[in-house]
Amino acid sequence: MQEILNGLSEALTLTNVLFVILGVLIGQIFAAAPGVGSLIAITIAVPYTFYMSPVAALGFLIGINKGGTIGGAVSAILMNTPGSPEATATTFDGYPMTRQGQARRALRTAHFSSVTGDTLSDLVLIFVAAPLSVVAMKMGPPEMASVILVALVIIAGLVGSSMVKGLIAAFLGLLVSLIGMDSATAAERLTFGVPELMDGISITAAGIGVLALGEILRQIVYVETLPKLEPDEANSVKLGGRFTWKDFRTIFPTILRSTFIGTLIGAIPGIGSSAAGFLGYTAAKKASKTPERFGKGEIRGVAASEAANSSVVGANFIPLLSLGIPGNVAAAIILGAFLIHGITPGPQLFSEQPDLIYALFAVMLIGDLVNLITGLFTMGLFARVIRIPLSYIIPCVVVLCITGVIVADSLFNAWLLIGMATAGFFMRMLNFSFVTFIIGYVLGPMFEEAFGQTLIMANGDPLYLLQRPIACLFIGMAVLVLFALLRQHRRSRRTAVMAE
Amino acid sequence: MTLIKRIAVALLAALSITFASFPALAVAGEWPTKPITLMVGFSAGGGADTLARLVAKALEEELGQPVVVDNKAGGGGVVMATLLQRAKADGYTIGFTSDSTFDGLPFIVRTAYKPDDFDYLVTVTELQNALVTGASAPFSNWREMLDYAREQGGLTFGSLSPITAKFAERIAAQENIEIRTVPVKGGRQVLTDVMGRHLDVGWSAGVHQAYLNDQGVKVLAALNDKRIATSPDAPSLKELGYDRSYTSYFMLAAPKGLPDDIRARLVEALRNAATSKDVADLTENKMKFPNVVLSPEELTRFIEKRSALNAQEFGQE
Amino acid sequence: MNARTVDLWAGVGIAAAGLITLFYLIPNYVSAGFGFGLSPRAFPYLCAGAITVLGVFLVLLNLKASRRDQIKAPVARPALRRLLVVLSVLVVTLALMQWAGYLAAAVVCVALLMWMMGERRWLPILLTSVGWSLFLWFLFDRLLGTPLP
Repeated sequence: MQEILNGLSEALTLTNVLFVILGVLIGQIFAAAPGVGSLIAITIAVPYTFYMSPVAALGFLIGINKGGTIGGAVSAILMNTPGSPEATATTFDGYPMTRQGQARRALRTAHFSSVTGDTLSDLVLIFVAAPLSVVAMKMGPPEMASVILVALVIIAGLVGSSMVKGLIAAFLGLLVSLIGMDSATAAERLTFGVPELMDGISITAAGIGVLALGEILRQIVYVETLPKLEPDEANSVKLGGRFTWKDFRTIFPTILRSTFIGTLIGAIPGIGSSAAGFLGYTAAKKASKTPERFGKGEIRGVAASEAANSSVVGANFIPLLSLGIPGNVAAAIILGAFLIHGITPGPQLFSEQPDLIYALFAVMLIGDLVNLITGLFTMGLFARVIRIPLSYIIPCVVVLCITGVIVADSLFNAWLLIGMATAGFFMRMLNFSFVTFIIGYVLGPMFEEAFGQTLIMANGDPLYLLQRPIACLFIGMAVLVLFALLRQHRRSRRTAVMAE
Repeated sequence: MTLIKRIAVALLAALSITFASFPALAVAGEWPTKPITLMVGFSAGGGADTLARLVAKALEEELGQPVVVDNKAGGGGVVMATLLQRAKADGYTIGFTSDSTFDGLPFIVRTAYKPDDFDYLVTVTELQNALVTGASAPFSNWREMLDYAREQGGLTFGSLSPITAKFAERIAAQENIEIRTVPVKGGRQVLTDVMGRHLDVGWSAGVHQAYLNDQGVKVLAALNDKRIATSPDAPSLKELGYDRSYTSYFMLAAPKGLPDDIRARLVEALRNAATSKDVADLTENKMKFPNVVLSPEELTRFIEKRSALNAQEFGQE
Repeated sequence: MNARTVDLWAGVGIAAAGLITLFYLIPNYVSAGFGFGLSPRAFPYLCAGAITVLGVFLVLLNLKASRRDQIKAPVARPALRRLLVVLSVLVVTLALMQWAGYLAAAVVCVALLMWMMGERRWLPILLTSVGWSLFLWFLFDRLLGTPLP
């Protein structure tokens, strides 16, 4: 009890709270702007925290991370371009809601779902970090490889209309991620002697290209078919849509389900919030009695995606605090900041520096509160953007995408961006899931590493897997899911054809 | 009139030439005028990365320009060095890695660069190389590990770099045990894998020092020339009867051909950064890495000597 | 062309691309390993192999006439022509960035795309393109210190 009080008093100094607020605002702004996600903001911010007190530094970085969870939804809902990749699933229903004049309602839904998901996941972290570490400790390369396999199969099957096309997209994504220098041997792969390609195709070029610019290309090409907003109608967009207490009650079960999924995924190192957003979304669609309303402005869709991707942020700290393993890249950067301040995350931290742990928990909850309050103002502010017609917004977003890639990488990558955008356009047109492509691309290097390590550890003995029951479990799950989804696809194919 | 016109034209021409060349001169004199990229040869969260970020911060204060850390993990620093070699030698791109990237790997891996393709700047610390295993491993010292390997028909070994793999393979050949080298991208991942007992043993360049004393890892042997201060009970390889050791440094390098004035400014700033009170205090006391700062000349000599040795040992393969 | 034949040809194209990757690209543009970890070729072979097999599968699924014959092809010729125009605008933008600098390129890009999206009044085009470009340039190049071309 004494430690909890010590931790609280350490967290609640004016400086610390100010740094948390500053972090949240920076995170919101960066995540709202396409191309520069909150991850880039965290990375830029780390060096500035070295000489802050440990709690202020971590509060600042965690603040950025949390601000990013609601910032990403703004442009996803208003412009159909996810500010950061994890908000992609938010566009599915968020943007249709905007088109129906429900922008404010969608923004509030995202806001409250995010903050609720994030807060609940922080609470889970606070209560289960230590016990869960025992399970997570069992994850080695074979388990990692099989978990990624399950993730790919599930996503290929659930997103898009055809399992075969989904798997093709996933393997294409894996293949694209291999371009550049191999991380184990530094051998050049498919670089064709172009020096700029040695570093591979960056996540900004691939992500912004396929997800954002690809969609924008489609909108420019099919500009005649886009519904046009008359000036009166545009005004009503802003006014229309109020988020009511009843809405919150409607989406609350969805938030709980998504938080559960997001927290689980966040606790497993490496999968990350983008996958959580999609899984949360697809799970909500599965569970719904009216799945056909998803993708057409269903409020539960927005809540599902946002609660899931936000709850990853808190849960990412479960492996980080209990084992010292970062759950994703953002957590890896934060881990570096921990070490600079002489803090070594791990099970011993709970017994050695309990004040610090409780201060950290307190800072996280303060961050949630700040996110809840500031979001009321900042998200409303962003909502005014929608008054501007698409013919103004889309050209500006194109330049913003290009600028984002140049700022994060280089002018050369902007050329790659155009190539990836064209690929994204055709994937949309031909119904190859661009989502599976990006997930494959993101998990590629990790998958190859874990897969290669597993082969070496097995030493050519296929029975080796029997010594890894958790990996067997995951592989069995992948096979089951594959067959279950294939059967379901065959059945739904007939009805889908009618609908098409 | 015509004369005046001509003079005016000549004056204008002279003026415009002066003005046109002026900004270029000013830029060269004022280096740095834009942010500097510090590429790190290892993944985020490990010892190299943590140190690099520390140096970047101190360097930023010295130069008054942001220093951006960019992780280019892979192949024990080869990915980073290959990119560094191709970068412009203008002082805006520098690299942070272990010296083996430059003096060892070119003789083992087919790298696109050679040891003399770089300007070597300064070292920051001496690595604290050790062979580590998880606290729950069924062996606690070198002898027990060898017995375990013979009994189990081999060991899995987490390696950060092809050169540490070669090093271990030679010793294993001497002892006639089989080791299976599992490439791992960063020191932190090696620790996680040995702590989870996914790997039997692993090579650590010093990050393990925070996990000693029943906090997850055990040190089996020191791989540096001498014992490591934080594990005074673990013998060095020389004491165990092998004529090998692996002393190395975390260091900074730039592409070959830096202009002299920029190079001088950079080396001075790096030296100040590496010896600054904050960096020294954090490396020595918090991370437990000795703050050894070699000058460019000492470092270049070290790398040349090491390259010659490695060329001799691995060159003929 | 209808939805089924488009998928059929997509399958043919994917299988062909997979075969080219397997038998030409990987052997020529991926170096073989040297015994440290998995060969750099192993995983690319796995992916390209899977893509080829799945491409063939897509062809087989769409060989027989089906109800999807009645569905219109998802991409039509006029759309492709329009796509080509948009892509050339983007290419011109990047080329301009290399030669004329960020501001000029960004202004031209926004202006051309606005015109393509149906805006014809010159004042809004001018204000938006110049205003937005200046804002981004000021934010990144001046405030945040990340140099733009």
